[in-house]
Amino acid sequence: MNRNGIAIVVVLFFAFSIAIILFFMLQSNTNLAFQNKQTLYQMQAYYLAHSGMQHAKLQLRLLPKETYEFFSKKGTGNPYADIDSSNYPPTAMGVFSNKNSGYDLFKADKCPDDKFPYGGKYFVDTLELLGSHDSMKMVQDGYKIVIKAQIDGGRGKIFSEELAEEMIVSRYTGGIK
Amino acid sequence: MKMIGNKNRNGITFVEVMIAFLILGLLFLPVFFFLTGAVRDTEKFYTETVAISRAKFIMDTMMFQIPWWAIKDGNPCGFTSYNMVTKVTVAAVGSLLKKAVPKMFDEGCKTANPEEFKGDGLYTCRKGFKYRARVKVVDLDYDSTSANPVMFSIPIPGSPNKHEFQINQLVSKRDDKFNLIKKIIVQLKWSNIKGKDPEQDPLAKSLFLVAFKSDLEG
Repeated sequence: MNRNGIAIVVVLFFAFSIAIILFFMLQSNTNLAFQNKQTLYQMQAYYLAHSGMQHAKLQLRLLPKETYEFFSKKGTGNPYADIDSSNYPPTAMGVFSNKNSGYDLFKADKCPDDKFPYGGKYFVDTLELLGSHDSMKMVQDGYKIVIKAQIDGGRGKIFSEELAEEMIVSRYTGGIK
Repeated sequence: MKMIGNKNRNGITFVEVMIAFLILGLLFLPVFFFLTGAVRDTEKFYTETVAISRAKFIMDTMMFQIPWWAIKDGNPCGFTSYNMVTKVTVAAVGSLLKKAVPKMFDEGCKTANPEEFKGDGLYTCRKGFKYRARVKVVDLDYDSTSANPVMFSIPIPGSPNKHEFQINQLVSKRDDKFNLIKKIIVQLKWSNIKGKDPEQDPLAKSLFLVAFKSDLEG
């Protein structure tokens, strides 16, 4: 049996095996980096959704009677449609921009009050009146609020978060349970 | 197969062995670089994960634990147990701040007043990497945003008009401001070089979280 060149064949086989192992190791590292980025974007969307929920609750506390009247007068649609962070300059975070990359709280000139380190927005998707307790001493209304938030990760990548909460509001004092 | 002096000598020639070594050497060079790179990457992902979890801890505490009035605007922001509205130091908030703020920011968050802290600090993880955390808070109050204020409005059914209110129509002046919403920006900055202050590292990494905290307590 002619075994000339067998060493090269064995080494090439070995090389091929190592290349496969390397490929999978590289892929797992890339996955880890990708997952960290995903986690961060999702977390950014999560806090924007909670910001939206607090904003909606604030309006419900401040204007409980006006909110109830919208529904009692057969209003249709979303009465809190104006709660959209992009509607007001102080909360408008804008879209992804490379200009944001220089944002730095540790450098006074790199973090002006009207700028944000990344783009995104929150808005009230729906507000429903679930029911009212008119005959009780405390006049209360039950509402369901759905908030949606989005983070613009650039290159067309949008990360979304949805938050829904049900609450009971005192119609004349604005107290929330 | 070679016949030398009537002996049959099977085996690998010296040239084959040399070629095999050459291929192995060429093969192991990138493997070596990859493995050293992988160790560096693992530490990079570790520091990033620690930074993410610390930023989350800070933002969670500020959004859901610390009362709205106890957070003062600024870069870095401040924390106080003295309620400017009621003019009273709230002991429960004081003890919360004394426990929570040093955990959030570590070194450098204390001030001369034991009832007050600042949202800035330097944390060193168990592996020896250093992380700087800073929080900026901006009051979205009526006076500073009066050109483009946040409005509170509800449509009136059957009418083109809306109930529309500005902040100063809904809340009294507190701490010299008509204010209902604070903008919170958390920055975590870290160095991938062990023991190096990220402020001294031009290649330091950063991540941010942004949120708006509404006054649901007043």
